[in-house]
Amino acid sequence: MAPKNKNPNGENVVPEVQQKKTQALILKSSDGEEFSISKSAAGLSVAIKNMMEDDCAGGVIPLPLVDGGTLARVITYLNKHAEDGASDEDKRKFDEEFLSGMEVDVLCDVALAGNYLDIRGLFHDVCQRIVNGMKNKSVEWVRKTFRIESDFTAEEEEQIKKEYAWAWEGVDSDAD
Amino acid sequence: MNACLPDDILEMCLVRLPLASLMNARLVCKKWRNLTTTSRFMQIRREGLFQSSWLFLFGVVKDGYCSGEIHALDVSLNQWHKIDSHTLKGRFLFSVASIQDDVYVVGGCSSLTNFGRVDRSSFKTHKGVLVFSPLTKSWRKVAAMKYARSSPILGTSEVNPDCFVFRNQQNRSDRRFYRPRVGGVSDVYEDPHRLSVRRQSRHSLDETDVSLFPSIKPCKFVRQKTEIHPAKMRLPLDFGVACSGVVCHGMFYVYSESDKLVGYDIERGYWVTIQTTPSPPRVHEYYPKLISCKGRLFMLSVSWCEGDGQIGRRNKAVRKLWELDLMYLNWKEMSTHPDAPMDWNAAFVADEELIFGVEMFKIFGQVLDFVTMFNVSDVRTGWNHISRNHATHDLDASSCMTKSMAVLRL
Repeated sequence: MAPKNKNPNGENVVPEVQQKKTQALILKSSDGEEFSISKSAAGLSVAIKNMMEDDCAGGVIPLPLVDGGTLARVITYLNKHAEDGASDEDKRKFDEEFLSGMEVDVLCDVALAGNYLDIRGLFHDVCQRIVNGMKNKSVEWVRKTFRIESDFTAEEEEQIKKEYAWAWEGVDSDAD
Repeated sequence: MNACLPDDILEMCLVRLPLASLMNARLVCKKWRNLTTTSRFMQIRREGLFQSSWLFLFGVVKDGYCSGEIHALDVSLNQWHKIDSHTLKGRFLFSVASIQDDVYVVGGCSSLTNFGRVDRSSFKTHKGVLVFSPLTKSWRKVAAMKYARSSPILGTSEVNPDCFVFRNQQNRSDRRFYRPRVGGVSDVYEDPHRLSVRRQSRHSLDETDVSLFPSIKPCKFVRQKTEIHPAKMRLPLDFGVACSGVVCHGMFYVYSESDKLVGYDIERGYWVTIQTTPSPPRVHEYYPKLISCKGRLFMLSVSWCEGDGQIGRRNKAVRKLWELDLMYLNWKEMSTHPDAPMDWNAAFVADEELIFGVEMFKIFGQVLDFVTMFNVSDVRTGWNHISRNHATHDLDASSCMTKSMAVLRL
């Protein structure tokens, strides 16, 4: 059997795995920014991986639903997780820090991107982060943070509050 | 940016909320309320393991009356909630068991002459089974037991609808009145009766019923069309008074005050005596509690601290957790509880790999409560205190004796 690392002309080629690692790919955000990323890192996104396999990759993959700022964050995440030598513990620590500084708005954008690009770990972490912020917070805090107007009438709200009356004790003040 | 995540992503976030925050989220706006109240949503929440343990403390006595109050500890947020429940007013010595999102309250007594008080001079014993749904804070009645019971020993199990007990539509139950702590004779009742509680499991795929097995005891079993050998259906006469029971691997294990262990095979419908290596030595006044956790059988039992019997010093009592090796039937010590066993009626319940315990006792004129937790998959961590003295400041000392506890994933 012919060795796999020879092409039909008998020339040596870089094995595919290695090729993936070293080769770079360009991701293009909705606002036209271009980011270079290794194929191995990009492959952690199931969506990008599929695009690479379908070879719509002329080397540049347009991501019309992700803006530059968000894409930069996502790429940081992907690079860390594709890093050789990064232990699970390192990655966990990184994830923690990576998300901890983000505002709710930013978290939502990253969640959208994580979902669109199908990066499971990131998506789940971000969702968790978003709700962690909501724990022990009042309804008003949640409305303000997510910019939601209540469409309940005062009576309806009273009624619902009554239903679950016991669940509202011990909620933190809105100070933080 | 998006004040509005698309619904599917918003849903993926909201399923992760602990219950109290979820209740909050339902008040935010109509869309959130609609998203979070569907059965699909609750199913994702359940299956995604986003629920967390809630402990429910029942049967407290306040100012001399059984107030019916339920104290609930949200373990993940470490918050106590108090739920008023008129339904339970005046009732004491009932038993509780959790099945999915509900707590079943079985039997109990009410005073006839002094309504609301823990008064055993003249009382009525109930046979009713009440179901409490914390999610909706609602109560409903389900089929009653055939006979009235106080402090029945309960086990719950998922059983196949065509298993023995269902084919025969019978069940046994045991009666145990309150009696002095020491001594007492086992009440033996012939009590063939219909299964008390039967309900369709929500997981319609596996076609199981979730059943509540009210306790047992030596009981003659009225046979209908079965071929079971009668000898196998009786408990040994010297079994004594049942003090704790739990279902594990389709077997309803019951432990007696005379340190005997028996098991009722739910599928096949008969009792077997389980000969274990000698049970761990224990202090007589404290009855052991059986716990079933992740298919393993445990027991909490209070014993004298060995090797600490120095002259002039009083030996210390310690509460220990033992595991019964279900293959070789020997008891193995797992862990020692950090607290001195002050409550002889300490309640222990299991949820997944966690065992929760609550001890309540009166000291310095005040009833104190200590809630502890043990993870059977992580023995090295040992017992953790998860709450101290939150629920019980204003309760009567008799609460220690009448309390019972259930745990739910909510």
